[in-house]
Amino acid sequence: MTWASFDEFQQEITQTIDGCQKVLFISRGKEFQEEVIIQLESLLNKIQTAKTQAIENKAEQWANLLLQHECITQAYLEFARMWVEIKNDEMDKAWDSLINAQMAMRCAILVRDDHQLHRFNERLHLIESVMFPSPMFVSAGYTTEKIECSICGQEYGECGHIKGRVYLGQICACIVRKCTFNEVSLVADPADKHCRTLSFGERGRMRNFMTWRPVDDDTGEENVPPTTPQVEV
Amino acid sequence: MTIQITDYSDVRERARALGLIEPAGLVFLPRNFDEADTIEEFVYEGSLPDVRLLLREAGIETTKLEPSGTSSKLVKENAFEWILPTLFIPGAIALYRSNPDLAKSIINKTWDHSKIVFVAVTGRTKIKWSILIEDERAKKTKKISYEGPAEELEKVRDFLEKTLEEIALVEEKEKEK
Repeated sequence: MTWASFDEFQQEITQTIDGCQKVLFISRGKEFQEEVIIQLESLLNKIQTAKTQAIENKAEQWANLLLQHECITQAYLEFARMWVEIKNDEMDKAWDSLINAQMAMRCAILVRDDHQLHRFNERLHLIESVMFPSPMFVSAGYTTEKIECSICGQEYGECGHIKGRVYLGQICACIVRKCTFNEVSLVADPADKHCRTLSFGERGRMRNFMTWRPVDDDTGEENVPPTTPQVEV
Repeated sequence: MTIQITDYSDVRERARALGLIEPAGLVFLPRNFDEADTIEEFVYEGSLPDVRLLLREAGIETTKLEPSGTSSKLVKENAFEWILPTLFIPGAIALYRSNPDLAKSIINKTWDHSKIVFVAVTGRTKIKWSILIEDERAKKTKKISYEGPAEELEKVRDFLEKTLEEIALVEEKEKEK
């Protein structure tokens, strides 16, 4: 066991998560947020090691508890990364980190519904709506011919495991093994908010959607000005 | 939220035209059941295996249109909505009389699972579902189409129960005559 006792495990979780919360605001120092990222990465590593052992030992309750804390730690880690990336002026990365945090929190709630987790989840969605422009999302439409269950590897639907349910420290998912792509659509509510428009054309030039800076036509990279940018009207 | 009830074509006749076994129990229909020329063209909603498993958990077995061993092609469209496969209830009155809780069991199980599908979704939730009820005596099929939030799925249950009761009542009155 990674921790000598359950109390020790709980103590470390509480200390790390509670400790990180006080720096997860835009006004707090970047150096503290970077420090928190290191602490959360270390905790995540320990939880994942312990979870692997729990799965091997078929200790279901323990494995599920570790899965939930893995998701919560991942959510806070991504959230901390988002603040640092915003301060580094890496807005595409910051968006991705925020969406990763939302997805991790969703998984945590799937494992066990909890009022506090819902509150943090609402905070993550509020930040999305007030801090980022609302992108156009895209969704792929495809026909599957072979899907596998992530829990047992059998054909999904034949084995009895149900997508979204928790089995011995793992959330059941479908793995698409064979498919044919049909179309790509613009949608308002995508299943995956990573799938979005990165840049858009305006008056004959392409701009990065997040920063509004012009992007290079060939590389797609932003033309970041060396000094404070002048806003074009 | 919208619930519509409309007349639907004869499912048995369509099954025969496609060279399929006539549905004997609850069966899910492919999205393109009306247009497909052959069964090889059939594509089902991506949620088919989930719903089939959920109903099995509730003690409700569903049959397949295709010969056993045929795997179903599933359509996946990754917008955040839950599209359920069209459910055909053949000989609905006989099934309803043998299991008066049928509608309740189907909808409650699905509603319960929608909480997993939409977990942590802060905005609106959206479900699309059509259920076909066969009135064998009148040789008619009614289609109940629902489009709305997961939280209001219980209204489909009430609608389904009401429709089944109405068909049963008409049948009883005709018997009395």
